Amino acid sequence: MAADTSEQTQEELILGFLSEGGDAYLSGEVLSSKLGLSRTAVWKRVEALRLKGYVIEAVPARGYRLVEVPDRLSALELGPLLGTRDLGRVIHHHETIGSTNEAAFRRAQDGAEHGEVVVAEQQTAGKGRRGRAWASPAGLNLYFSAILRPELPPQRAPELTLVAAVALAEALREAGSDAAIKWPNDVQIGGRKVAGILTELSAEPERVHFVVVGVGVNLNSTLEHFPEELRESATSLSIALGKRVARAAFTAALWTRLEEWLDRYLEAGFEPVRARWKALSSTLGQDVLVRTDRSELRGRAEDIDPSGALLVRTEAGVLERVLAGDVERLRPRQDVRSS
Amino acid sequence: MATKRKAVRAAAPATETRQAGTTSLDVEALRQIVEILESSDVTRLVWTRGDEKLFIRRGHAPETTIVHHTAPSGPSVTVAPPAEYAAPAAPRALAAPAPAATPAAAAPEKAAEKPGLVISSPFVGTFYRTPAPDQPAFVDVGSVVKKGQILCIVEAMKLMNEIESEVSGRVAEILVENGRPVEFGQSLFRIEPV
Repeated sequence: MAADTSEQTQEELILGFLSEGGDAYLSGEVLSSKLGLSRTAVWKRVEALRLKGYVIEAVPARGYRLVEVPDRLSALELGPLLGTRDLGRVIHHHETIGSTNEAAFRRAQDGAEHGEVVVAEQQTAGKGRRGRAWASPAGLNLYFSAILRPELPPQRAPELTLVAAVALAEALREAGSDAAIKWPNDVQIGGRKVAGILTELSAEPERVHFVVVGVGVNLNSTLEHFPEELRESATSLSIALGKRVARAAFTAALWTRLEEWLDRYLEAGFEPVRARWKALSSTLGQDVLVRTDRSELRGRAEDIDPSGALLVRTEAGVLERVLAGDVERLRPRQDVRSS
Repeated sequence: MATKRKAVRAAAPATETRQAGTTSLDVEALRQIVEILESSDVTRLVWTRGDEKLFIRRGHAPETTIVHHTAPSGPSVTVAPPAEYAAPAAPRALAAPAPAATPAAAAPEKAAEKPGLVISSPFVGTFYRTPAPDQPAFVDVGSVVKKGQILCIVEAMKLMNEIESEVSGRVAEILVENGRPVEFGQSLFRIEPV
């Protein structure tokens, strides 16, 4: 295992140096001195990378050049792009897995550290709220679950779901879309769901053990990839932008945002998150129907309270505090976001 | 609206029956009224009988949850909202039954007197006894559970917390109905030693 790990580290370093070099060639001699390896060892690692799908050009007397990176989301692809301190510094990458949340929860129970992430190219049992499925076709989108160990009383843990939503909406906007948050933490583009967050908590009364934040983002799915019943209500970033999305770059940008917002939240509390959430929200100001397992509520979504709960003003003028449920927009407003 | 009238009619006789031997509403009658309200869509009930006026509003702003007026000299019961909702503008959780007026509110004390350990909710949220709506409950009354076994889920804002049993034993009581809102610290289960 030790040899494998160091070989992987060497491969990550080679990719890092080649990425930094851009279109320029990097000589085998420079690489071998940077890595403290023989030129033969460098060549072996380059060959190993080629087998993994990297296109690395080698020109005699000039050196190596990175031409193409495979469309995967392992540490090799993400490592050189990541600017985070903790988040994604350890990546457990799976070609296929039942559910990244399940795997991350088990790893956390076994002692995984803050910031470790489980990523999968495909989920065969992607989890949504209350037993619902999350369509997770192979190689197209982003499915990950981050293990967080924040110092928080358990009562405040639900606020983390809004922290994640803010980071996600920001990353999707930076990618060029007009993403907005539907309470509490679905992210939509043009009223269609592009991403979902499912968070699971392990805690005792006084202390959070860990939180698993599971995120699914439709990046390169086309309509045919969605189950038929979702084609009216789902979208992907690629559909919205009309071009293919670089998954690794998006993932690295999202994790950077997520760590930034998490830091801000733990330092300054929920208020800055709340303010940003409100600016990114598509729910506030709308007439909504809130469905829970056993009740329905209609009214105007007015605000979120200092803990993130949705405040809905009913026709009778009563302000209801909503903590769980599916929010549906009743009459889409014509003046904004009609695209 | 039809359900509203029906529920109000249903509430009255139950109360009157209990009232026959007393001079004012007793706790049992109040409990029955609240139970009927819970199983209906009624959110507000005003009932007058002689000097007595009963006003119940549930799932709403906390300023007046239940006020039971009698003649000026008679006893007066005012049920205060839980402390975390004491701020004037803070509304109540969606469709929450008035917590201090329901059997569930009395349950923590009752449960505490009984043998075993009471498992309580770590935050304000929605209580689920099943992993998904179409699946069987994690546990039932009488189920023998091991320490660390999942008893239920409490959800708030799509954060799912699987509540584990802190002890091994038998589920003696389940103190909240599936799908109901729960308060921070509200008793959920009583686990008895086997």
